[in-house]
Amino acid sequence: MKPVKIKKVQREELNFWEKTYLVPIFQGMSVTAKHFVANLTGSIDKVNVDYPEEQKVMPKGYRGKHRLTQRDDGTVKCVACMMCATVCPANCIHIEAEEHENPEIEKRPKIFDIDLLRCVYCGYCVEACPCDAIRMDSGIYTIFAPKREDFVIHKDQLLQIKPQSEFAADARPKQGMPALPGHSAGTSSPQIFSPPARAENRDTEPMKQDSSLAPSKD
Amino acid sequence: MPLIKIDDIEFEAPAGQNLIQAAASVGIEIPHYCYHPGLSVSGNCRMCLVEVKGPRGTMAQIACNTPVADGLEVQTQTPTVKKMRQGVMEFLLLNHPIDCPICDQAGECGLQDYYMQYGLYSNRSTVPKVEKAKVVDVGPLVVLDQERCILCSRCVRFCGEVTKTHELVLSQRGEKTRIETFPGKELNNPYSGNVVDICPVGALTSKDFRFKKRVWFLKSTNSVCMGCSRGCNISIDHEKTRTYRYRPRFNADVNQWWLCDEGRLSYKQLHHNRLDSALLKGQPTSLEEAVKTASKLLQDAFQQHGREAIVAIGSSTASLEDNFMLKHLLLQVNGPETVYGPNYDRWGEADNLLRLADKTPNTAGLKLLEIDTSADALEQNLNSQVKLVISLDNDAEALRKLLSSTQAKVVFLGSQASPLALGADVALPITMHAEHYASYVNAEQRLQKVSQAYFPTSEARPGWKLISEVFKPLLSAPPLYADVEDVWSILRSKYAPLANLTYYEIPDEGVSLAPKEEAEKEAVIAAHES
Repeated sequence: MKPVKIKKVQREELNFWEKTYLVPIFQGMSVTAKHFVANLTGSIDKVNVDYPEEQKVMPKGYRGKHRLTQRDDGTVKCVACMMCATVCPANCIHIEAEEHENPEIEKRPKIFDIDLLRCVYCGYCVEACPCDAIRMDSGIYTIFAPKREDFVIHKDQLLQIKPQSEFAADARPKQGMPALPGHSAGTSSPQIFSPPARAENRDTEPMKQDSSLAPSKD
Repeated sequence: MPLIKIDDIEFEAPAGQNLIQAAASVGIEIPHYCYHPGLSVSGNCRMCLVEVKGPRGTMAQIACNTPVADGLEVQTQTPTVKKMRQGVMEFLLLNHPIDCPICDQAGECGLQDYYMQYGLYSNRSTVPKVEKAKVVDVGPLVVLDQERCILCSRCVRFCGEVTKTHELVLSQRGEKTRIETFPGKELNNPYSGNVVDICPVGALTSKDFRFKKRVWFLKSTNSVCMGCSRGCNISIDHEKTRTYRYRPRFNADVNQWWLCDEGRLSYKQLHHNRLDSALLKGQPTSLEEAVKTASKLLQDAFQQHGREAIVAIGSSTASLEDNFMLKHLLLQVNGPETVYGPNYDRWGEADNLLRLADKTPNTAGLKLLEIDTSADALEQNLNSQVKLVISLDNDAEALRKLLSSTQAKVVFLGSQASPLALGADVALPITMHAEHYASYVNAEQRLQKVSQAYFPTSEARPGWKLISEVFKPLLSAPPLYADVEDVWSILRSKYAPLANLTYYEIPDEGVSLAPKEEAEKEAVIAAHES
């Protein structure tokens, strides 16, 4: 083993003013004061927002609180296919299906609950949805409630959440990933499942609702 | 046996088999829709096209309608065959609505499976799809979607050949062809649920199962239907601790591919009106407390009034193990046996396909255990000397009336919260067939086992376990029964037909306990008659 060499470093001597420590203190304070005044008067671009009076506009693609989209007549677009519940890694989506009165739609969710405390905001549910029925484009990033139970949001609440009206101007899609079609509000992709408009003149009566659905031997 | 060659595998196949069966026996799957082993060959879906070498070169033939013959050479994986399958899939999907998100068949659909294997993966059609009726109510158990139908006619053949009720028909022609019920007819035969199982696509779906659960969430456990003494083999489809449906499981000797509607819907009793906790005169209590009370009642009756004061009533709804344990332990305590097993109210319709009049699964099991199943014998012996009656899952209203006319105390072990359970001095909850390992003997002397699908959600325990707990204080050397195999270790030593069996070695399709010669004789007679 080699002997350790010792190198002696001469410390720089402080001069007189530095030895008083007064000048560096005022130098530092002047930087703080400059930013303080600039922020106060708004003479520079602010990084902070006046939360909660002012809400930050989230960039496009930000995965906020979920919402359920609506058909033109305001009913829920979801057909309860359970793709989102199947793919969900946190197991936070609970759906129960029921019969839709229109035989061409056939199925709709009776219960659609999302447990926001369990949710990991991965966005898989949005990817999996064949009907563009669930989105996370609300821009809502503040999830709060007074009680644990209130974090489980139901179908009615999910339907009322609106998309964020405009996305941040500086938001840009990640490099190498084209923007997904159908993910900006109001447009729809041609691949999305929705029963096409059909002729009215069917030659077989559609099934009667509810009462007839119960098996007679029950 | 003819020597054939499929995909360079040369083997002997039994004469009479078709190419689909022969290929399956060596592990080659030939895709098919319209062919079903339980029905006649229709040959209309064309999915099973294979290349067969003939005198005029290689030709495409449907495998389902080609019987094996000596020297047959078949290719199932050539580019031509794959192209044919792709073409057939394209035609079948031409007018299919592709509404998988709302279709109950999704996940177990023939179209989905074969599309992933052989599909074209793009759409060349430029004309709008043909529209037919959706959500057509064809019967009490079945919903029809004509658009999803690929017109394989399995359901039509089932109603024609198996039930012979002829409710369904293919009507109109060409692209307008559809499945319909005959005018004024309804698909309401007692086996109508089978058309849902045999439908390879989502055209016929179950009204009872409709939208309840996506099938990929369900797990299947092999079991036996408790609906009647036929003991049809079933799969219990369940998620966690809830059963959603029964599906028939193939057993050549019992039910073939079928299951009656009554049995199919009998899964509901697993969740309906269950006895969830132990009861003392109708009041809920802990299981330990109730078992202790039952033991005390038993001890008092035995010590104060002697052996004739105790009568046990088994049941043909309970398993072989439960009934055996009741008889075995009572015999040890009581000397001469006083176990009866009358079936009061579980009788119903029978037919010559599957259903039997005796609607309990284990009557033959009681006979095997030499338990008297006549109601008269029980009534004669229920005299004023009897101070305690132990009823194992026998909660018939007639029995309740009979017991209330005596002064005897009642210990009830059962699965249903029946009036008898609520009125009994002690009621102990026992598990049902989805919640325990047990065996049952069907009307044809076939011993079949059920497997535990999930643990009971309540305090319920297997009947044999609770019975041994109740009898424990009375026995000089209480035996330890921890597993169903422990019960079997005594069971097989007592009864000759079970001598060479262990519980876990009972095969999934069951074991026939009938003496071999007789079974053969019956088979000969049956063959002669047909």
